[in-house]
Amino acid sequence: MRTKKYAKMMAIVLAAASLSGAGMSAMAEESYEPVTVKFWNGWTGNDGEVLMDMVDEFNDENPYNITIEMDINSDFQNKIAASFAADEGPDMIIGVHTYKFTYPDYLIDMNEVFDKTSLEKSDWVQSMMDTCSLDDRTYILPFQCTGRYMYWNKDLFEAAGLDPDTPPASYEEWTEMASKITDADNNVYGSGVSYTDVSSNLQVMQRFGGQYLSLTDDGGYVPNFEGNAGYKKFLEWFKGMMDSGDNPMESDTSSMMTAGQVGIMCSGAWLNQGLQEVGLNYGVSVLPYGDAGAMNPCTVAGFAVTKYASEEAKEACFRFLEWWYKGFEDTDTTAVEHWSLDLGYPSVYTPVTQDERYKTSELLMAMTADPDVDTTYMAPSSFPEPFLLANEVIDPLIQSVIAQGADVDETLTKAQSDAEAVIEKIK
Amino acid sequence: MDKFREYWNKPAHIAYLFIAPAMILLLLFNIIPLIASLVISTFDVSMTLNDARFVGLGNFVEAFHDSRFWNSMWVTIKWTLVEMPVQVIVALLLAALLTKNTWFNKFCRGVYFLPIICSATAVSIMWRIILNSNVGYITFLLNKLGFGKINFMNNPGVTFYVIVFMSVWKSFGISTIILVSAMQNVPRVLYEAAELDRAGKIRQFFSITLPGIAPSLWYVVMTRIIGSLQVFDIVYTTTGGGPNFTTETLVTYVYTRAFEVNRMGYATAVSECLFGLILVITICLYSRMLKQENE
Repeated sequence: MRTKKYAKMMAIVLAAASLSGAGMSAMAEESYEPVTVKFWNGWTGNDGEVLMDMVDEFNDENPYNITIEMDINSDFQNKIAASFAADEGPDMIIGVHTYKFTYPDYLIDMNEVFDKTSLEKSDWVQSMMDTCSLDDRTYILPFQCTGRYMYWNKDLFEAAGLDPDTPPASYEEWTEMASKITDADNNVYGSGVSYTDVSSNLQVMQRFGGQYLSLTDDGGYVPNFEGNAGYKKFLEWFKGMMDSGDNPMESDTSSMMTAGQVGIMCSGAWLNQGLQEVGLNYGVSVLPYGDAGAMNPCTVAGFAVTKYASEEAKEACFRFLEWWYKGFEDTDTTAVEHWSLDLGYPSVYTPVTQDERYKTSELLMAMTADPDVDTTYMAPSSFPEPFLLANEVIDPLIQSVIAQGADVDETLTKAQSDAEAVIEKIK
Repeated sequence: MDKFREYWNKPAHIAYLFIAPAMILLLLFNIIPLIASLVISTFDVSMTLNDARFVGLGNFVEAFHDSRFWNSMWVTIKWTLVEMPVQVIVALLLAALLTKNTWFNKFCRGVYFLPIICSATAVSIMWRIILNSNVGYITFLLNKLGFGKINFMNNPGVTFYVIVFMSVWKSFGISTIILVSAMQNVPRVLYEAAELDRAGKIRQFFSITLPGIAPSLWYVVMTRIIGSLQVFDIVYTTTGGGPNFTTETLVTYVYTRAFEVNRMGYATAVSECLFGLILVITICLYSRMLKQENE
């Protein structure tokens, strides 16, 4: 009986000793409660793989016991809409600047991150920060500007007797060079503009004919389609290359470019990695300016924290963002630097653009437009639904001319009324 | 307690308990969503259901003035008119050839059934590769045979029929199996009697087989019509409705309205129109089938 009593006392003493020991070690190394952050985005391409590596790196190295659980889904747009509709959602997402109009009630004001971390708002390119903000609220913390670039296959240039280091400087030259490169017997096309890639096509078309909408004096919008000589010229340029067989009637021309079947094409920065992986001898530059003058239209993408993040998750998101832009004390290359240096995305974060490695990167410099040119994407930045305009008006406009040979003037007139209907709907 | 037992032991009462699980599921997953969708179709509302604005029949009026709605309606009807007969005829022919339970016939039935178990996305990707205008195997062969480079997937005049073919290829197996089992149940004595009367195989098929499998044939026709009117997956994953909306069906259009344009109310109204169309066609076919059975 007495032995049992001693044994119990000993057990209590040992437990107390071990608890106090644990407490002491916690005090020495500051422990954190484990936090899991649900992070959704739709970046399924090569950039998604890089993003995955970076998130893994953060999960392995962060001392805060934070686990970022990332869900990359090609159906992200629908998933997030359905999720918000059900009044639930992830803690953090990657969104574009128009989310300030689409989901203002679901995203927190990202200015909070500047109060709670060492990040400084002044480190971002002001115009990009403004694009992601509305009435002093910042909805997206930007990290890249997504534009479109011109890629050309140097080997095909050489084979056609063209200088591989001199890409077309105008769209007239694009047509001329494409015609020299085309080799129908070997499935080689001089030009590779995809008739279904509305995001790329509208960028080229904007260079021909300017913004799709203009602001009226009373703050409204008026479409610029009807009688627009620039848009007409673009449609005729595109259709001409289709008819001559210098541009294939294909939707997936990026794969053709990767396979070495296309001479010149227009795509986003993500194409770089695919081309580098297959070892294609290619060049990249900003797209030639058209009749509408110098411009570099781009959308801005970045991080947003949702209202569904708990206080702990929100703090964890902020720690992740601080790491993304600044790294830890011993970080040599931050995630945001990797993003630009590895993938070729021009940065909107000034410490990156001032980094020597960025300035000396041939790829990034080739893709960096004159900083003074207009970056307005499609319509005045106050227009809330540029993507609606793209899907409902511009895509049908291009496809009806290219795929079905509709009359250009009539189609532009129809696009004018379609755009007016979109504007009316938004009202 | 006794009263409780006594009450529920009566057949008229216990029957309600037996059907309760089915009724609850029907209520939760069919009737309530049906009523909810009718209500949503009268609102101008986004996917997040924020800032809903009552518009009454406004969404329906808008649909009737929407050229893309009518285009997708026409594509859907055209799809049904082409896909259903092709599939039923192919299934009928194959079923007639594979009725006997030989080893070879069983093997063929198994092979024909395989596409059914493949996902529509996988089937779409496979055919897109095979028919690619630059690297497609069939395109290459046809080019070598002198047919030129045919652009199967991006040609407004051709692409529609190519996707119909893919759809038939994917689902004719199930129709064939249903018709084979129906044909096997037609009494042999009828064929023996017909042979004694010197009726040929074709005459036997039209006079004995077809009437004998009528209920199954009606079932196949009805399910194929409904399936055709609701076609989505194979279209969305191959062309997304293009080129220039020439393959955009009603359900694809509903999808773009709901998830790309974020107009849930309008998308629901278009869905209601499709629901009405399917309801009318099903009722007509069902009454025709009942009438034929009574005759």
